[in-house]
Amino acid sequence: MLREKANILTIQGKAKKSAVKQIWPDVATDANQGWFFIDYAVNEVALNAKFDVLLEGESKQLISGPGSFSVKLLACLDQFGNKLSHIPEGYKTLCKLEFTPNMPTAIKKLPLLDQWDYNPQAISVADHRDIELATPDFVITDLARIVYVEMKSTFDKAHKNTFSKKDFVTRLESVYHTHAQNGDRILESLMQLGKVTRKSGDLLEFAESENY
Amino acid sequence: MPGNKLPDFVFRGTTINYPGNNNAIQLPYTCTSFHPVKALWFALECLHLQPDGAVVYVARTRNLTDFKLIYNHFNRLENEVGFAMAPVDFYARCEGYIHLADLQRILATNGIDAYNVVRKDNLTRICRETPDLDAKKIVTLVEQMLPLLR
Repeated sequence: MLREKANILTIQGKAKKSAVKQIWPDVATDANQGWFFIDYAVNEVALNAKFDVLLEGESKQLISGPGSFSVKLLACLDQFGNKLSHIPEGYKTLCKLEFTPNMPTAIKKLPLLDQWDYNPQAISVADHRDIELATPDFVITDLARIVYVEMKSTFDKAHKNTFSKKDFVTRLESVYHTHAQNGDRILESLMQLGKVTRKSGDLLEFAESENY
Repeated sequence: MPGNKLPDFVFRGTTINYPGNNNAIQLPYTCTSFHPVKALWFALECLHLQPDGAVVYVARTRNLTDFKLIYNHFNRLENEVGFAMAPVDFYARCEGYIHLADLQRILATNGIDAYNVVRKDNLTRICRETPDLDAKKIVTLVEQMLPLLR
């Protein structure tokens, strides 16, 4: 799990030279460099940012710790071929990366792609200082589904139709011993699923319809 | 894009009047999708920024013909169409925007899965898993959206 504002790049695959050429003329790289299709940036990442750990898949399992190599972001392009001064938050990019001393095997084994694509075994590069033990996202999503049933039932029994974000998070903390930050994420998940809607101002309510 | 012909409608999931980042404003460009469900996923990803302001804009492409198309060579997953215009200019040409709850309800009543937990780090997978919609179905959906546009 990574800290909230962590520098991280998720590499879907190596870019075919022919793909890079479609939007950028200079495809040449040294042996320890390459062009890669990078997934949506969770946070802004500066050019020349450095990374030293490898994480695998959506669960971001650590597969290579710090000390054996480093990765540097040399250049980034958006999908239209605009050269960017940094990777803006929320952008998918085509990036040139440099590995020192060599490209790790897990990177070499990535698929060769002609455009961005979902890769369940995508490799993320991160800074080891941004890694912390915390609750993975899929656990938060599962917890949201469980909590919904219990919380709605409890609130119904108490004839409580509306509640504040603070009510919700406080109850999660007391019953499920969740961290406040995870409480926010669970509430956000329920809103995306249409299970919780905003009634007025800061007041929320559970939706009547069953959406899953 | 089927046959390289622009579809009748494009959609942009964002927050109300979001001006875009510096690149979108300065170059300028606006990213849209011709798939309304994929646009919904982008709007859902914005929900944490503005719980009341995450919406999907709907535009008729015939109202955008004076803006150059920016060809995206890699548009498979999002069915993306880029226009050389700042997002605020795009919003001015739109039919309006629809709130997420309204769009989710319309999609659900049409048998389309509209409820998902979306984050930047699962958006690619969710777009990949979203079934294609044919042009006729999209027009039907837009007809149901029109009375709810603001």
